[in-house]
Amino acid sequence: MNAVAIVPILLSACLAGALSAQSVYRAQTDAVVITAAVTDGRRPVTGLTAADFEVRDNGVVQEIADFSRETLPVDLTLTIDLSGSMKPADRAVIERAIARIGAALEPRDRAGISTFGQRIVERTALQHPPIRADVTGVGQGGSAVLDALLLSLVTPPVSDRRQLVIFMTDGADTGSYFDSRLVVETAKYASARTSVLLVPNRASSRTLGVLQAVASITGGEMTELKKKDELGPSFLKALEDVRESYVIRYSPSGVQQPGWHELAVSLKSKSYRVRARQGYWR
Amino acid sequence: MKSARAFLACLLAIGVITPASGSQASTAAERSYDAFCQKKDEIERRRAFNAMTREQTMDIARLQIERWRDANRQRLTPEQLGLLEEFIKDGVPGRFLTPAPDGTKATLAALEERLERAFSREDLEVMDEWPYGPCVMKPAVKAPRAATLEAEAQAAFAAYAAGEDLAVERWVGRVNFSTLQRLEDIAARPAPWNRTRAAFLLEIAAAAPTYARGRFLAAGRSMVMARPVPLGQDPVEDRFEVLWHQAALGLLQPGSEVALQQEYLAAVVPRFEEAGRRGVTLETRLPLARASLDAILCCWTPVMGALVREIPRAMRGAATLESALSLFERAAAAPALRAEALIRGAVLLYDAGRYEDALAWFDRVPPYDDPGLTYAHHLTRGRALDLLNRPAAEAAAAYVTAVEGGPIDQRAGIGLASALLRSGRPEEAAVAAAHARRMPDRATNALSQLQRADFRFVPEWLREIRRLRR
Repeated sequence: MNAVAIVPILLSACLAGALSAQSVYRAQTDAVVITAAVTDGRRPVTGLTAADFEVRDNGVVQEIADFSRETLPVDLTLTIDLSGSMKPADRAVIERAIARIGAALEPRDRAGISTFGQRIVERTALQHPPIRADVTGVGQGGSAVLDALLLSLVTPPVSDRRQLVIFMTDGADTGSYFDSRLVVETAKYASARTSVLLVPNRASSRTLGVLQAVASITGGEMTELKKKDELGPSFLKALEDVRESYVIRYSPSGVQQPGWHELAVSLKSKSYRVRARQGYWR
Repeated sequence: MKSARAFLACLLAIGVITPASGSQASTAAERSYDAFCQKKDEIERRRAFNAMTREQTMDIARLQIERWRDANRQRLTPEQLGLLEEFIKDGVPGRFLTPAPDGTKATLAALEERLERAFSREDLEVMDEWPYGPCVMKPAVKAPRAATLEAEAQAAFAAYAAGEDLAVERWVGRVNFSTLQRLEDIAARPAPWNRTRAAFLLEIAAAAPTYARGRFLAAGRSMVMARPVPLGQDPVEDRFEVLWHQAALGLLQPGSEVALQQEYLAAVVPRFEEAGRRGVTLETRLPLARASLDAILCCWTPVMGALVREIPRAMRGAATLESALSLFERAAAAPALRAEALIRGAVLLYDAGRYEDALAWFDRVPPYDDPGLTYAHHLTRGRALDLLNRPAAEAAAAYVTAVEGGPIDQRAGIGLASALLRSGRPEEAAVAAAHARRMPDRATNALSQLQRADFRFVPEWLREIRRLRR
């Protein structure tokens, strides 16, 4: 239930069963679901209530119908840049980082691993832990960062799980076929939060802009690592970030027009940082 | 058989060959270079090159220039030697490191301009065409091996003349680079017309690495065009000649051997035009080859990170986007070429950023049955629709056809997943995305089929030539 989903009028019994009694929400009209991360700059802030939040849909304040810090399982997709610009020595760092995040997954979580250079390759399909870290072929060929990012934005539309994409790259795009505009446009429809981890290299400003935009649109964030050793802790932080997020549901009111709906989620009185996706299409 | 032996005697009056020496200790870069140069096909080379790290590609690129410099040192001027030093120091990293270090682009452009002034076109081609052009092997101990080569060639020709279709392919597949160079010298000598001989030369060219095909094809072309019976009088020989030229051009196209294609078409087209003036109309793919060449000359640009050769400015001549489009229109007048000419024209317009025009050309494409075109056609159409902000469902439909046409290329699958998601069909989008992710690693780049042009027909044409060779 990460980010935004347009929930149909009748949620299936299966879905309802998967949610806690408190969090089940049956809307009479389509509902909008937002996942909001709140931090004090470093750590997640817990203990907030619905009354602390304000949600605006196309500028119109919405009534929050359901609010929780659900303990929904997570679907994690790791998309890892293994192009020629990544040194063979990075392989061990990546494997360690995957092992760390694998150990942090709960049995009901699922994780899948894809790697990319010029092509995107699924190494491990979405599955329950333990996950295996197979990153053979490191350091080969060019890098189609935008193509890989575009593909990673398309995830199965599940309502009973939080979806997180961790996209790790050095941002050095040498051979994408698709353009940045299409990637950003597609991000507006994506259901998963995308967190970008940028490892040190010489990314072009154009690619950086797209990575940043996708992270912002989907409610994730882009983190520039100073050292590759920070990869493991950054993986864990992204996972913790999505686990600790608040789930807010509302039925749009006064904003029925189709098209892009701009979202603004804020705290009424507290000065914490709130991160949620920037909008949705309907 | 007697004439064949006479031909071979002429063909194989060879000198000294230079087997590669394995006695000297090699550096890692030299070993990489030598291993890379064993790859004969351009696609194989591209794959091998892409599998290297940037540092490795840079090392072997540097080695190529150094070896070429050393091999030609006697004739190079101090200015040329100095320029090469600069190129080795600044130019090579500028070309092979992506993104290039700051300011490299301007430095590289200035350096290339000076190189163009200081070196002949032939010299520049050796440098520019690499890694698809000839490699320079280490100087080796010369040993007289004429008899061996002669015997091998005689045996291959005899077997081929006797009907063993793969005799040449097997033989050339074993020949090393130095031997091939000797063989080129021999093949370049003029010889009288004979279908078996002409086919033999074409077979050698087809079995040789991309960069080594030119001289075999030039020699064969001269022989074919010198046949005593003019076009229009012997349907079998006419068919043989048309197939020969088409196969020769097809063999030159994958490596974008622009100069060789230019030369080839300049030699052959007037012959068919002259026949046309006599009322002899032969169905050929030459109009499409002309248009495709013009498209390369006018509009081929290097792609960041992908290894494509630049077309030296002097070679571009008068070719423009409009001239290429005009040639595609002309080629489209022939029903057999219409679909491909319009698709290629549309892709050219797409590459030029004229998406509306590209769609208009695509709309004129008649039904066709050519898997080599389907993928590029519909992938490009899907992208044009996306870039014009047309409804995502329209792009999705185009991508679906592309996926069906190029089931081992990932890009159409990615485009489809995105278009379906944007069309409000997330479940189907997820299925398309999963399918794209599971495509085999190192799968063929189906879009490159378009660049390989008539190369895709060469095996079929060779089979027919073999049937007609006796």
